[in-house]
Amino acid sequence: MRKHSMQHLTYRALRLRLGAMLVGTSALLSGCGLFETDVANVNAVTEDALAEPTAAAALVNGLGGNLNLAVNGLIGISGAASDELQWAGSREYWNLLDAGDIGDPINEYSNGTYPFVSTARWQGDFTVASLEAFGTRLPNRADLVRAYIFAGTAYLFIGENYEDFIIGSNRTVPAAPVGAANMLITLDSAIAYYTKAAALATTLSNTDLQRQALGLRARARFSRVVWQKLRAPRGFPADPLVNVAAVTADASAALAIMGGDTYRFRLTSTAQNAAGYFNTGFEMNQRLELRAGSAYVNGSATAVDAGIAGIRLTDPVSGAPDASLAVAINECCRQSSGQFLAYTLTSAREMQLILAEAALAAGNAGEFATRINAVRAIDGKPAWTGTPLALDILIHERRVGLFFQGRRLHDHYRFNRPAEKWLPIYAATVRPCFLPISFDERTQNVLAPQPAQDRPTACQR
Amino acid sequence: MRRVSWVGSVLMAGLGAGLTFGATPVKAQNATAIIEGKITDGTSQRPLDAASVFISETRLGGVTNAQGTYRIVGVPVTGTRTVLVRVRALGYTPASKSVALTAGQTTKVDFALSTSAIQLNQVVVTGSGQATETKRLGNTVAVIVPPANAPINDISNLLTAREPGLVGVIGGGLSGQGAQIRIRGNSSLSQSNEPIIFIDGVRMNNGASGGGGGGGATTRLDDIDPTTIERVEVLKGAAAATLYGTEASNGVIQIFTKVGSQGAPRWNFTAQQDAITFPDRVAPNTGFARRQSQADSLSGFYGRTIAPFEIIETEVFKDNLTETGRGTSVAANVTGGSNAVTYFASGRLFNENGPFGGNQFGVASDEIRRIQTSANLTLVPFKNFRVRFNNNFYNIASKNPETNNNIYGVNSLAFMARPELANCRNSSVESPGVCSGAGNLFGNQAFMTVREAMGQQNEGAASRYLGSLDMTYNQTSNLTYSATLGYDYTAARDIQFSRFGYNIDRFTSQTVTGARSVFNDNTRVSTLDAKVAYNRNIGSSWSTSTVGGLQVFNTNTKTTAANSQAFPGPGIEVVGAGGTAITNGETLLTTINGGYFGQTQLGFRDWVFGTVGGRYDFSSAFGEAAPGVFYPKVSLSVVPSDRKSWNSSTLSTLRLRAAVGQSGRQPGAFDKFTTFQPLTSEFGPGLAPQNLGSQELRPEISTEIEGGFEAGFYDNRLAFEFTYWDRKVRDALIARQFPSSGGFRNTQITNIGAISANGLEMNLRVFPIRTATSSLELFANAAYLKQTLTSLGGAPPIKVGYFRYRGFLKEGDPLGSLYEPLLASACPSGGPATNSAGRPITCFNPATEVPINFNGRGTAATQQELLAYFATPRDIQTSAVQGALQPLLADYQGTGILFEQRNGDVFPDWTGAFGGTYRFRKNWRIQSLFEYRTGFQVQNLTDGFRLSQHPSIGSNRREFSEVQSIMLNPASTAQERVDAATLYVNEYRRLLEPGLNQGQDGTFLRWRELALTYEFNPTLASKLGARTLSVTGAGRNLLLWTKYPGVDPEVNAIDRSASTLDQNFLASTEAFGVPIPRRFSFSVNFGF
Repeated sequence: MRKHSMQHLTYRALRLRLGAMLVGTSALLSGCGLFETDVANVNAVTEDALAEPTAAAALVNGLGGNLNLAVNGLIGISGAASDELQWAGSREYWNLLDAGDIGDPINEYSNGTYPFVSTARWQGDFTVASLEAFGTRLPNRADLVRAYIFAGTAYLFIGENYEDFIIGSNRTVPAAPVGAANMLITLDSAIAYYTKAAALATTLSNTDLQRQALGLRARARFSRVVWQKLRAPRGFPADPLVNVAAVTADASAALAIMGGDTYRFRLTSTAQNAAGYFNTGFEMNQRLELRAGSAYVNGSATAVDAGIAGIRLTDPVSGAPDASLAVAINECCRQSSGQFLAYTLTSAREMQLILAEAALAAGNAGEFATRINAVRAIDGKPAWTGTPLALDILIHERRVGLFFQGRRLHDHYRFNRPAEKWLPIYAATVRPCFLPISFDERTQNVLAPQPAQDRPTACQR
Repeated sequence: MRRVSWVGSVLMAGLGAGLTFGATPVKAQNATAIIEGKITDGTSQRPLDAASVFISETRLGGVTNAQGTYRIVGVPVTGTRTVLVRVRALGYTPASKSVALTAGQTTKVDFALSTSAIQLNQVVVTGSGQATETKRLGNTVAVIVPPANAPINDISNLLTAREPGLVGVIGGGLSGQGAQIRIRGNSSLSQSNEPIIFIDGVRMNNGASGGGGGGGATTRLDDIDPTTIERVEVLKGAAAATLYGTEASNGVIQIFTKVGSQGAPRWNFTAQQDAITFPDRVAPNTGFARRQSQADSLSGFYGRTIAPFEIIETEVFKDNLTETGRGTSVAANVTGGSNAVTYFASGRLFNENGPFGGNQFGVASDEIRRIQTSANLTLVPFKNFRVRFNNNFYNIASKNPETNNNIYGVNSLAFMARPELANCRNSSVESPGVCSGAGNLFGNQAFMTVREAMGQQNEGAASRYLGSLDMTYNQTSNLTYSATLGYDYTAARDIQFSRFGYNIDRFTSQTVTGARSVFNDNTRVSTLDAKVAYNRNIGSSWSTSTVGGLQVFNTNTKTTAANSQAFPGPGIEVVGAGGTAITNGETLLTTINGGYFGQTQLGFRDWVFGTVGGRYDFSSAFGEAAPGVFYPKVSLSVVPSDRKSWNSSTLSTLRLRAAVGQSGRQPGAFDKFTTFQPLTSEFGPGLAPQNLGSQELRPEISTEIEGGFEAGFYDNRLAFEFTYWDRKVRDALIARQFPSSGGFRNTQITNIGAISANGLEMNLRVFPIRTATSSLELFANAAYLKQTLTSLGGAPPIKVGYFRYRGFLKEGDPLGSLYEPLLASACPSGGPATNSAGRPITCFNPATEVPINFNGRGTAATQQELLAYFATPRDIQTSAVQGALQPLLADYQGTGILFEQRNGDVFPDWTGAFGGTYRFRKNWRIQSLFEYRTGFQVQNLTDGFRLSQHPSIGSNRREFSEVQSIMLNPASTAQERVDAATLYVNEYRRLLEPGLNQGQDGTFLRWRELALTYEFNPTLASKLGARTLSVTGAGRNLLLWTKYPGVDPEVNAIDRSASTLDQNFLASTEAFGVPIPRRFSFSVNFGF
């Protein structure tokens, strides 16, 4: 009897304990946050966080990152479309760019780069508007100068590289293209942003930003004139040289504060903002899809010794491999250059070349020689004394001095000197043709040109 | 979700309170009786293992052991009592006997069961909230029982080809590569189409691991030890899975592991050895020397005379990168216990070094090692209260070479090598085809040599605990509370590593100073499941069964990633040592889904059953204040053959059923918000546009109707099951790509789509032979699937995957369609036909024209101009010739886009399997399984390179080499060159026009399994010291019948490591993967 009672008590105690455990567990569950739906996203910020002026620097830095991504892709495409770079790997859309098929909307590189350019354009306008709205609450007004410069540069690259573009879209609301005939407004937008940047930088006495703004405005104004020569009317111009007062004024003003002929303003890619197929450095120096063009280097640029030994293109004055090109190739286009490259946006060398060209157009041989030789002196090349012809030495110095800066395609057209690999079945051999609105944008945007696969009119053979 | 956990707490508190005041001790009876007996196969008299024996209208019961015996103790008896003893066993007709019991005595009750091809009395628990017979449900619940002794090493193999409509999409043939699971196709465009998976009632992490280097991912599903699986229940769609709510629209898989059974400890051991080989499915590498000097050089390298334009053939993959793989599996388990405590414990070591060889070249290998342990303890402290603790611990380690679509992949480099480019340029020829040191043994032209690729290694490792506490309390015979708390934690780590100086051939420039990437993923899934069930009879004709409760799942994922390149020297193998390309990242994500569910079933005279139910769901994706979503269901099951008046032995069983229900998928945790993400630049930390956001987001809703019947003929020796289902998805979540000109590059999830799908499922099972010494069981099943993207809601077509894959999602077309350029045809008499846009379809006159778009002018070439063009040899690998010889394409469909003509889809129209089991001479059993898939295309990117004109890689299949040698050979005639060029343009030209000639018929039949088992007589086994003893010889993936010319129509470069969209719609994409290997196994199973 006692044993049974003990057993009964034991069962009862066990029952009570188990019951208490379950009740306790249930209370614990209802009290803890394990199953509450209110969870936070710590991986990103919502847009309302950007309404605070403290977000200004982050917005501008992010814009700089996006601009870097855009420029990074465009330099590779433009390089492949010109004779600067050529295909060496597995993805044949580089080869089609080599062959001069520049206007194909479906080209995976131009198609894939278009969104990066668009984002840089949109974030540029968004960032400028945001920072301007902060007014006096902006903690550092130099951030606004940087925003103007980056936003302007997005427009600059659009104007220099695209046949047509869409700049009116905002988030989910699509807009129609600017129209090929109206693309000058992209360069005008760039100039407007640079003008604001220069003014504010001057107010802030920020020389570094001031020379960036002035140098880029000189480039934008120069490109504006080139645009008119190549596209209004469309063709290879009989008078290719640029000599416009506003351009030379900006170039002179920029040069005056650049602090010497070696000054450059560059965007530098990093592992955090460059990756994959639209990182030209990766495609060239890691994956080996691209290499410097065979007109520039001996064999594979990645396989030969660095420095002058690998250079095929000779200096027309000395007949030796070009030293300026050797510097550029070393920086960009050898395996040792790495996959995170820097892209020169403006430089004292470019200002000198702009001024030299203006002098040549104006018939001022003395100033032309002075300017050209100042450029040549940067890399220790002997002075030009009249041979070869002035136009040829100008074209050559632009070719090697602005190598890998997205200018060569313009010069192919401007001076009617087609790239060696261009095939006659493509339009680039008969008229200037630039990058199209991408295939993807056309399929996503009903206001974009249709059918999506068609090349722009200027790019149709 | 606080309200949900509050309700859960109330339910659990009810369980606790009831337990406190109502539990009855197990041994509290004064007068009891014992029932024991033996269950045998009525034909063969073979004892039946795992048959369920229970006393009707009580919770008392047991399971037979391997000798077929059972014992039920503690049956309450006052004086004498008559009880109904019922028996159920898979594959047999249930049976019952009335037994008179006397207190204090043991009554012996034996059963001889007859086999049945139909299983309407099978008890399932998935989808109904409580255990119930399948005949009561208006929907199908498939039950997969692991076939005894079949060569099944993982869950992926267990699920594949067993049930119509359930398909495994496997990544490739490397050891450990897991499969995607699809049930009735895809019900979602943007969200995962994997079914949700439970193990013993606990939601499990079904992610992927590894897959660095373009594939080769393992799946978390395969962490589970297949030898511990009792059965798998499968709900195929929304009509069946409504009670699982959001996320269940692609079905539910519920895995039940073995539990302990009463009796003395019984041990079982299995030892298995596997030999694994690749079938000969990789075409040889071919090429030719273009010049005498090259031929001379090659003669020196290969040690035989080679002439210019003579086709040289090597088998780089087969001869150098394959071996006979070895697998070892050792498993043991023990079960036993009393009526108050039972236990089951198991352990398995699975170790495999697969058929990928080449380790004479480098460290890359395909290996998988799984240590899998499980232990569960079931306590019955009171006769109406049961508590069970499940504990599983897994330790997984895997290695994979770089594989699939990857220019640094070992396979891709082996497949692409050109024998005419082989050399020992950096050393000397030691023997034919062998260099003394650095060289290019196989003729790689770009990226790296095969030997260098072998210097890269991918490794994965995971430690995982999966456990649960499961409680059931029967307050009365009608009222049951139950609750499950589950915890699944996985710490996974994946590494890609190239050591310093792995470029042993001095060929590659890819990170020659080393590179390392580390990815850590810590994922925790917590489950709370609590419910109450109430069952009662109303009079003699009606019965009700009601269940209500809640489920909540909390998934917490923390990932960290770190990468670097360029180590300072050899021997340093950590990310911190790398000097360039240094990146790191971290993500933290918590998502919570849950809901209440309820269901009532009304039964009439045990042959008509109607069910209504529903679930009300919440999700953290919509925030705490957002309203939930209600998913309803209704079903009807009518079993006229269970009427007492039914006595047909020809049509011995008949059931008609219909069900309609809803389920859903919710968007991602933060898809509704406009967000900006980190973007660091040289200027400092920054922010950039990420997510457009949409405040209107809600779950997509799948509504599925299914109806069908099961019929058993000739005393259930033949059974046929038929199901038709139809699914409509509204508010389909579409990852819409808004124009990037608007500033945001990422897609935005929006509820704008609609999908319709329907299908058939048929299952035939027949037992033509049933004798005392032999039996034959045959089955065949088939599933038809049709899926259409009804609406994209105004969104543009969605491109799926990488540029060279030609998958798109376009409104009005079948899901998973391929869009490729189509070649022009000969003009019909009367001139060109017109397409739907009213434009003439490009065609050519075969009498006067050749279908080549000469110089891209848009019309067919004439024979004369081609003869003139080919007056001299032409190199098709140059841009100029490629530009001159373009394919003549036609816009058949009037889309205006030549490159996007629909050319089939990647999902098979029909899938299925057939096979059977033959038991003969009493002790022998042979089992076989064949699987087929028809009506789909494989994107053959491997041959996109190997058969094409690509100048730097591939172009090395014999077909292309022969054509090219003719076009280049000065000795060939112009006409021969024209003929070769025509063949090239219309058959072999690839890549230049994206997708041209790339989609190919993937129909196949595969001999999936064959197993021959000998089971020793118990007397003989006992003489050898064992209770049971059997030996099995088995084969897996023995033969493949297909017209597909590529490596394997089943492998898929898009595995579990790819993006969700790619996983959903890029099935059947073959890109440099290895074929599914053959496996030969020998195993010994014994118990004591």
